[in-house]
Amino acid sequence: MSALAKGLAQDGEQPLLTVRDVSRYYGARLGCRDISFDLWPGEVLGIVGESGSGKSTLLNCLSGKLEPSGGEVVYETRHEGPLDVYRASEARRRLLLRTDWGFVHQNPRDGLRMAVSAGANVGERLMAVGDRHYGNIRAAATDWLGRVEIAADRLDDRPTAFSGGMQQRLQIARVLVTKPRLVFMDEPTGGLDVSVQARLLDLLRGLVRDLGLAAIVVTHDLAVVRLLAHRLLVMKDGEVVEHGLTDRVLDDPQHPYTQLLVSSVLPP
Amino acid sequence: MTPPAFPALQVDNLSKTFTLHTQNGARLPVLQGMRFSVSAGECLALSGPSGIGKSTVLRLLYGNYGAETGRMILRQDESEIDLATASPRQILRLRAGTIGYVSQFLRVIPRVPTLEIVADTLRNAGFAGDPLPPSKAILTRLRIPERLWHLAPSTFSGGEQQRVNLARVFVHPFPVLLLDEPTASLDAANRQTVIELIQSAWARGAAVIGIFHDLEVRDAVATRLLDMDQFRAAA
Repeated sequence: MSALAKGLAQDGEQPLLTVRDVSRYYGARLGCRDISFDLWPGEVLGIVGESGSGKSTLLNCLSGKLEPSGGEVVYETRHEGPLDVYRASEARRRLLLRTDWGFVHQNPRDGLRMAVSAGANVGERLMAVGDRHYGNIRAAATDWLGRVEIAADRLDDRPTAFSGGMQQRLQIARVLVTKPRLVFMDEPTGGLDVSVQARLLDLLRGLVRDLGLAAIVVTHDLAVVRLLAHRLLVMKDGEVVEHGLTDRVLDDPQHPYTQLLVSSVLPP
Repeated sequence: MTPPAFPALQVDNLSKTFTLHTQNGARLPVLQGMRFSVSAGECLALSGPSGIGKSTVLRLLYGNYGAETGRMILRQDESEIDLATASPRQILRLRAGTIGYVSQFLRVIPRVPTLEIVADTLRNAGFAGDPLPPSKAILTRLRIPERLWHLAPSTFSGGEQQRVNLARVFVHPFPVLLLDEPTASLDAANRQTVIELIQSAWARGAAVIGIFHDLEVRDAVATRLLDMDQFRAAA
């Protein structure tokens, strides 16, 4: 088969997440409106827009945390076919969040348990998916702390003793240790030093390529989305104003708002 | 018996205008009604003065810019796709194995070592074996010293970065190559190496489209010239 034929042959596979006409109102106030897209395995979708544009509302609606006022979010499960996230039981949704999905919060304190050690924060997610072997759990925790550049001798420290950037890295290790299929991230690299941010981008890219991890990343950092996201949604006033291939949206923006957003960034 | 010589790429009625909403909706027409085709085993050189839209053509073919009108049909064996209407996923898959693009900038995740950047091309293209030996071979051929392989290229000189950029594309036998000034900041020895790489690319059947300001390079690699002046958009 030619390279072209091979490249075009994979169109049969199922989207991992199918989002149709998702809207969310807070009373009369609009959070987000009529959002539709598909996300495939191994794909990173970036969502950009200024504060108040509805990106966090959308992320919460997609990730099972905030029931939309209308529309549906359907997740293709590993073995049981498609699951309508908001028609499923609360218990099923929580199981999904603990196993197949991961959520990286903007503030690491929202995603960590501050009263237990770093090792326990990572090990706990493994135990939640059924791992019981203490040695394995500790080894996996050490391995993941290393991948996010936290020294092994900090394993028994509590996150309260960590800097903000270290807490964020710990949160990311906690989420990724169970090898989720879909990760939601809300400004994941916001508080990180530039060098650590680069390491995390590289780590995520590897997981996306080698394990087929899919991710939805909300950020205002256009340099991060350029390197990490395959596709981009640009939001303004609760709606998607532009959607497409990341580098095309950034280099050939069509909507006036996207042009403003792109032209307002200082070149690195 | 020879197989029918399909054009690898056939472009018809391609136009591009930029509308700058942040500057009172100013319209910048760049290309109008452009048409050309490139067969497998050819190297087409786009020629014309700067600002005439040569880089724009390459970016349209790579999906980096969206076409305003027209078709860009890419054909290989029995398969074909219109690059002008291809979905983001299709474009990304084509970039992984089919269309290689050497731009004038090296854009990579900071801190990723040079050798890994080159090997990533092979990993993305689904290379079956160990990607490191061919990656080392192309870096050696482009005279990137071994002591730099494990460093990220952000601190390299302009010429070294350009060669990393070339290595990460020429490490894989892309059927289509888009080259934007591939020898711009190279010394004579490296320029000669790049000439040889391009010649062997079209000799193995790749369709190559390039912009070569260096006339010596252009004469050495191009099998055909396309004068862009005829497609200049009326401003």
